[in-house]
Amino acid sequence: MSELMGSQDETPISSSAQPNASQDELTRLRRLLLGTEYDRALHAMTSRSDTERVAASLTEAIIQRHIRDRSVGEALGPIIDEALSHSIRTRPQRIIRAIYPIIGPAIRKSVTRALADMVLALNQILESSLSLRAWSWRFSAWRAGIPYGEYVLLKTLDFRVEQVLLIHRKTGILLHAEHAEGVQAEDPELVSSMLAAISDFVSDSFPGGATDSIENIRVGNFILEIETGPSAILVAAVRGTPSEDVGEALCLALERIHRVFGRDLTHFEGDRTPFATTADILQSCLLERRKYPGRGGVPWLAMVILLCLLVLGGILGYRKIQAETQYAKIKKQISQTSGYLLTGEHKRRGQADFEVLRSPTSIFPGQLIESLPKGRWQIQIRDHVAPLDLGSYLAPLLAETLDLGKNVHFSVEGEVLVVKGILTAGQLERLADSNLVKSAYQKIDTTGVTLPDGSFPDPLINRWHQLQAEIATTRFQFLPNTAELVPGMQQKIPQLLERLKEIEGLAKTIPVERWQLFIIGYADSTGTETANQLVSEERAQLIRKLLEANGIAPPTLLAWGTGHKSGNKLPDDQQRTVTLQLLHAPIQYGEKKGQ
Amino acid sequence: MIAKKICLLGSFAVGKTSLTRRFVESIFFEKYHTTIGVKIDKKVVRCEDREIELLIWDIEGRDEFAPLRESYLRGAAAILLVVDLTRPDSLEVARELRVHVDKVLGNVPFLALLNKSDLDQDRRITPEDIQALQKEGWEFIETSAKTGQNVDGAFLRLTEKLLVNGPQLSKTGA
Repeated sequence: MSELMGSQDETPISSSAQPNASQDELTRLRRLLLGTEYDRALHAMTSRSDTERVAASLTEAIIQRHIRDRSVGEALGPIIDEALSHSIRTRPQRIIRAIYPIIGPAIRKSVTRALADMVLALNQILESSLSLRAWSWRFSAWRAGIPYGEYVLLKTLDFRVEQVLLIHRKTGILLHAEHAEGVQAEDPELVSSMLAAISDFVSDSFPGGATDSIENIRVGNFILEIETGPSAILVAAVRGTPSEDVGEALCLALERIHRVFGRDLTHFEGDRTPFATTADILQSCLLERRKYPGRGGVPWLAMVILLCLLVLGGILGYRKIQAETQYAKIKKQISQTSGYLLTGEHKRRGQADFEVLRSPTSIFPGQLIESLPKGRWQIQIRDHVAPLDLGSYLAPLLAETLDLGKNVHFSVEGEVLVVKGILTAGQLERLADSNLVKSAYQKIDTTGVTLPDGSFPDPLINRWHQLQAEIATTRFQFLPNTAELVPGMQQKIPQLLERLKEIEGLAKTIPVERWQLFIIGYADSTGTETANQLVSEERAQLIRKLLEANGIAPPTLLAWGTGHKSGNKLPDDQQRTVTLQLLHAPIQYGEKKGQ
Repeated sequence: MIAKKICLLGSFAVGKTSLTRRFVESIFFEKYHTTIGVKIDKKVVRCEDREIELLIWDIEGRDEFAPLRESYLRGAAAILLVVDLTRPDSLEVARELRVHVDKVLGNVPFLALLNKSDLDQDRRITPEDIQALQKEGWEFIETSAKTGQNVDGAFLRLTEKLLVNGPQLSKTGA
């Protein structure tokens, strides 16, 4: 047909007249022979491109080549691998979408299977290690001098197919082998060759051997079950006494192998590659039967132990989570404590150690630990105090936080904070109790502090300042232009004397050194300045004499007149007066505290 | 990997087992042990960029009391005929074995080994004997299982023959 049809492009190729004539004749001949079919066929051939023709026959071609030598799979394997890798790299989402529907069920099935196996294995372990029978077997194994595991296997196993060999019958070459889990196969190639040799030997040596074949061979604990086919032999190495199931399984497997691989077996030239796919068939022969096949019931012992373990695990887990939560809270609170910077942590068996860098103004670690929600944790905080600059930071900070006012000055001598200035007792108390000061300095020196008011907690000092204030408010008013007291003013003198005597006593007790009493005379605005000065001095001296006459003898007693005080808005009668001021050297706070 | 069965044949005590052990395990024992039945070994060789697993059937030496078991030859891809060059009778046995093999296996590659070349002073097989067989298509290699001379080479040569030349034992040559 194809010769009759000729080449699809043969018509226009010749330029000479003779070939054209012969082509035309040939075409006419074809039309005569084929009729209208010629044009249809020619159209079909010329209208399809090479690509279309390849596409039309590609699938059949691949199938035919695969059947012939399976080379298509080998050729496409690397290409498919590379394409798949590329696809996973570049379009992972597409792959995820593709496998998503199966990955979940696969994982669930796997987990379920693993759990079931674990429970079964646990039950078997418990039964084989804790029961009375287990101890009896241990003793027997010890007496027999064999490992316990092997003894258990012997006692509990009816049979187990440990290895299956597929052997080429003619050459004795091993085509494929499969073995049970945990079984170490001993050079199956040589084993299969020797089996073939033995089989041949028996066939040659015994009457009828040529037609019959060996069905089994017993070697120690093993029985070799042999199933012989036309082109292959299937051998199962069975530990124990095999049931009929083994023979049936071998027979079925061998039949299937001959059915599927018959051509490969017949034309076997030493290439075992095609027989790698017999793995599934051979594995179906790896049968096993135990004497105690799980009894079919619920493994109560394992369940109870597993439940206990789960409960125990749950409790331990809960406690662990609780402890971790507590630890996180502790850590958070330390981190959030003002002036604390967490620099390190370590926890071990209920002991939580923290390292912090903290400001001197922050609270002490001991105080912080007291406030922490410890729970089960034993907490230790190792602190390092960050140094602070006195001038730029500490002094303003102390003044502000302790409300010390502006009349205080700080300096540092070694580890001692030296405080000078005017402070109240309360301020001194706060300063002495300040964590900031205690953290930053070994000692505080307040000898340079003056206590200006009556707010001291010491009653003697309080009394001193109370008297001092009362004396300061005592005023003697005078008649105009004279140094004569207004009538009734003299009555104040005994009270003043009494107060001053008490002051003298307190000055010795507290003690207050170098205290002095100033007596200051004033004049009203009338008169000249000189006259006012004179009269004011006279008024002051008068009071001084009165005091001296009554035995008042302070270390310093000064009296002077200031004349008229410009800007004084008081009435004139109140401007003609004498006032007193009690001054003294700074009181030594520390000494007084000690009294 | 391709697996091939090869058989070593020859008269008794020509050194078949020693050659196999020298080839497979690279050892030689002075003491003689007769082989009963068959002993099977294997070794992977590399030939023409292919790995071939040779299953070597060392078949018991043939004598008048121990005829060759044909079943052992079944499926063999090539044959090594071993001759003791100090014993002319072993060459005659080899000739008979070749005829036997030819009947059982047909045209399979074979190679004749003139073993015990280390005993050259006791050589009894003449060059004429060898040339006569060479004319019939026999290929000889002198070997010594004791010294290892040409042992690996002989097995490799047989492998080449079974891979490259294919069957070459002709019935007419027997």
